[in-house]
Formats: sequence, structure tokens, C-alpha cells
Amino acid sequence: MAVYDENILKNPFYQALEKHRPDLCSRVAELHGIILVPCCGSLPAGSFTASQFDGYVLQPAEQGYQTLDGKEVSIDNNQVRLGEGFPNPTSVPILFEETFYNEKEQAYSILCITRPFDADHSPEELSTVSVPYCLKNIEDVREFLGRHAVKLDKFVAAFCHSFKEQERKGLRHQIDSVNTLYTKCLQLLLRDSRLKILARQEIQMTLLKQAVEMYIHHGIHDLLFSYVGSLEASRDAAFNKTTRSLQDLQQKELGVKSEFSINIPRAKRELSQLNSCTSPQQKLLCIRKVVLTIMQSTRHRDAVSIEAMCADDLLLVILYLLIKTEIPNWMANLSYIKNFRFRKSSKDELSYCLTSFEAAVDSPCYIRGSVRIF
Amino acid sequence: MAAAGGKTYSFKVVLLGEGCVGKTSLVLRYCENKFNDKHITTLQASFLTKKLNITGKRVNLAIWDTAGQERFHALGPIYYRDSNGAILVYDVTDEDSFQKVKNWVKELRKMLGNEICLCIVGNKIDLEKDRHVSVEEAEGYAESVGAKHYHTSAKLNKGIEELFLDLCKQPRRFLTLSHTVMRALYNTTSKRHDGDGSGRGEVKGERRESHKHSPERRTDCRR
Repeated sequence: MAVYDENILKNPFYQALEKHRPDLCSRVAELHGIILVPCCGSLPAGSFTASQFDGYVLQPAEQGYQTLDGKEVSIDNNQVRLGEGFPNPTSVPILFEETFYNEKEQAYSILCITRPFDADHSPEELSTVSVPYCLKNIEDVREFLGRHAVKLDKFVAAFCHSFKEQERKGLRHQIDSVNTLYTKCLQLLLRDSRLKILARQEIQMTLLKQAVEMYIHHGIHDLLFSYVGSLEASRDAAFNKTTRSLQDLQQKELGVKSEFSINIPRAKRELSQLNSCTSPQQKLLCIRKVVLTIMQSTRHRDAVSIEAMCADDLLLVILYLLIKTEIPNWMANLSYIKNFRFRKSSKDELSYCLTSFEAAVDSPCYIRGSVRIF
Repeated sequence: MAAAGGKTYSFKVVLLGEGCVGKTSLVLRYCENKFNDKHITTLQASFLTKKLNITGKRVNLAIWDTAGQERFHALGPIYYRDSNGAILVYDVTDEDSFQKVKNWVKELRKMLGNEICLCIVGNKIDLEKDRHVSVEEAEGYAESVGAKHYHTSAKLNKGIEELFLDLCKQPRRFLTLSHTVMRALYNTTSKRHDGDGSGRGEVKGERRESHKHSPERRTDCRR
């Protein structure tokens, strides 16, 4: 997953604001207000006039917000809506929020927006900035790589050929050789001058890495995944034995809260796609989709208090899904994801989803002993 | 994702506390996206993030709720991996919940060593009249175990911002922590499970044969 991000401190608009209007910076901090900063890609060439910044600094008003030069602004649904006082009432999407603290520990918000108020961009341009960037499947990848894909096929074929000879070597060796394949493929593509220029944009580089990773994994999946499967066969057999003994377990007995039941059939359907995903990244995205489906709000309009879903609630639903879904190779799947994902962060959302599943896969042995208590 | 040129720190903070102490309200209060309230599609409090910029230092804060039920006790280490800090929440009107915090402190210190930044949080100070854990006792205990103590009210939005700001302001500590944490985790878990460094909980019965493939386990600890 990649979502738009930039360092606001390096944004020319924000830098100009800090330089020319230090008074506004201290004012917004005292008001606990908001500064709207157009993203760096949307800024016009040339300098900014000191007076225009007042229109980008907001203070809380009775209804919504007011710019420091007295115009009305409201913010909802991740959009800044320009109201009374602006020549053209329009709305500008928000890319992200960042909370700033100054030396005095006063807090104010920065909202990075897709464009300046006066710029007229076509909707297509907007959508490329505001949509999270992600290649979902092999078709996306093929489209992204275009003619370059063919170049990778040679490497992939060579890998598959030598894999059969090296199969007896340990997991460590296989992880290294898959990593080497990935690096070689990426380097090859970056020798292309057009791709090289494109990859200077961080987001394009991220996409390129994602594409190479998924393309390789798609090519070597059958060999590699069955290799991991054979390593994990005994653990999978043991796990399946445990879950089979829990087959009759009801949601209530397990402790699944009734308000989360409604999403379970859909989550189950999402989860059943797991073994048709070829790359660790796709498997992880599948798991994330399951988690998001589980968490989908079930509240009714009249409901006054809504219980938020915490880790315990999530764990119990995942555990229920593990017991009731026909996936015979959980250990192989988790090992494959953990060991063969190239660009990993241990702190992001995907990592949290993976951790929740790891915890759930570990929990049936505790459940078996404790379930009679409920 | 780091922005061009400037370093962005990724902080992972784990959240511990019994179900009824209000830990989810606490983080929801802190992370709520007040600019998107009309289109809530999910209401989840298990994984939340916030971007901070503290006098020029960018911090991407990720707050991980952990499974807190007694029967899932052994799963804790799976969630603690790579964490930079822990927030342990109790309810000032509920003495048992404070006892529970004490147990977690012991476990975290054992698992993660002395370098993990621990914050003990007495929540629900809006119910001061029903207080069952005295301020002296709580603060005294926190000091004795090298933790910081905070009083908060999720209901009145008191003390919450200070708590997270303090937690994110400790740069040097956080920089070195990951390695220490991983080493500690690896040592602890490998002692317990014969080389299963993945931080898994107790392995029972037939699953013991899992460590046949120890190379895979070792790779989990590379980070």
C-alpha cells in the first residue's frame, strides 16, 4: 500500500508562509487552528504573495471555520468546502492531516490539500493524487509494466530451472535466492531511461517495486509455494486436527459479539480467495480485506452508543473464521507471507492484520482448553 | 513512507488494558478524524495511526491494541514485536484493573527489558468521587518500576494529548529500542520454545515438531 505523503516542512508554499508570515504561524498555534497547504505537485511556478496566506489559515468559527481574512469554510467528508467570500465556491479534497507542535508545545493542524483554491485542474488530474496507489492483481501489474514485462520472463524462467536443482537446500537459501532475483529484475528495469526518470517520483518507484515483486512471485509461485507447503506440512496437519475438533463451536460459545456476526459470511467469502493469490503481497491484501470486512460498521442510524471493535473482538472473529473456513494450509500461507515479502514494514496496517492472523492461528490450543468455561 | 530528504520516524505503541477500562475510547478520542465524521465506514479501535510533527521531527505513530483477555495471555509477545512504547490503562474506580496493569508491567519488563518506554494511565478521572486507586499509590508504583504515570479522562478529553506527545518526544530512546527489543524477545522466546523466535505463544503437543524447520523461525527476527 502506498498513500500520498510529503514532508510539509519542504513544501514551497509552507516554507514561504513560514518565511514571510511568521505572525500567522504563531497566530494559528495560539488559536489551535488549521493551515491548508496545497500539495507540492500542485503549486504554480513563481513566488507567493504575502497576503494570500491569510486565506489558507483557518480558525474555528460558530459553524465550521473561518479564514483569517474572513471567508467561510467547512470541512467534511475529507473535503475542504469554500463558502461565502470566495469567488468560486468549490471543494478541494484533503490528502492527509498532520498535527504540528511548536516550541511552546502548542498544537495546530496541517491539512495537505490536492491544489490551491484558484487553480483549475481537470478531475482526472485530481484523482491521480487523491486515490491510494496500489496494484491489486496480476492484470494491474501487467498493465503497469507493459512491454517491460517480457524482459523479466528470462530471469524468472532461469530461476525456475535452477530451483528444481536447489530444492533440497534450506529455507534460508531460498529466501536469499528469491531476494536476489527481485534485485536483479528491479535493476534491469531501472536501466531503462524512461523508467528511471519516472522512478524519481517516490510514488512511482513504490509502484514499480510492487509490480516487480508481484510479477516475479506470480511466475515462481507454483514451485515456491509448494516448497513452503512441504516444509509446513506437519504443522498444518496438526493445526487442522485442532480446528477439526472445534468444528461444532458456535459463535456465542467462542465469545463473538452478536453485532459482529453480520459481516462474517462476507468475510468468509473474502478469505476463501486466499489460496488463489499468488504473491505474499496479494495474500496480505486479501487478509487485510477480510479484516476490513469484519470491521465494517454495522450501526443503525438510531443506535445511540456504538461499540468500537478492539483487538479481542477482532481476534475472536478471525479465530471463528479460521475454524470454519476450508483453508488447509494456514501455516504455509503465513510462512510464505512472512518470509517472501520483500518490502516489509513491521509497523503498518498490513503488519497489524498479519499479526492478528498470527495470533489467531496460535490461539486454538488455548481455546480448546478454555471453551467449556463459556 | 519517508518523504524526500526528511527522516520520518515510525513509532509503534502497544495498548494494554482490560476491556472495561476505556482504552478504546481513549485512542479513538486521540485519533478521531474530525474531518471525516459523516462517512464513517468502520469504527475500529484496534489499529489507529496519527501523523505528528514535533518541532520539525516527523513521527508516524501507530497504536496497536492487543488481545487482553486472560485466555489469550500467551499471545501478547506476537503483538509486542518491534514496539517502541507501551501504554497500560487502568480505571481509577476499579482496583482490579490496576492490579492487572502491575502484572503486565512485570511481563513487559521481563520480555522487553528496561528500555521500553512504559506509560501507566489512570483513566476515568471524571469519576473522581468513585476513585478506588489513590493518586499516591499509582504514582508511587509507576516511579518504582521506571514508568511514567498519567491521569486521563476520555470523556472530558483530558490528559490524552499530553500522554501521546510525551511518548513521541523521546527520540534517542526510540532509536535504539528496536534492536534491544528484538534481541530480548528473541532470547526470551527461544529459551521458551526451543528456537521458535517468532514470538509465538506456548507450543503444545503435536505442534512441537514445528521447530524442525528452524531457519524459517530465525528469519522472523531479522528486522
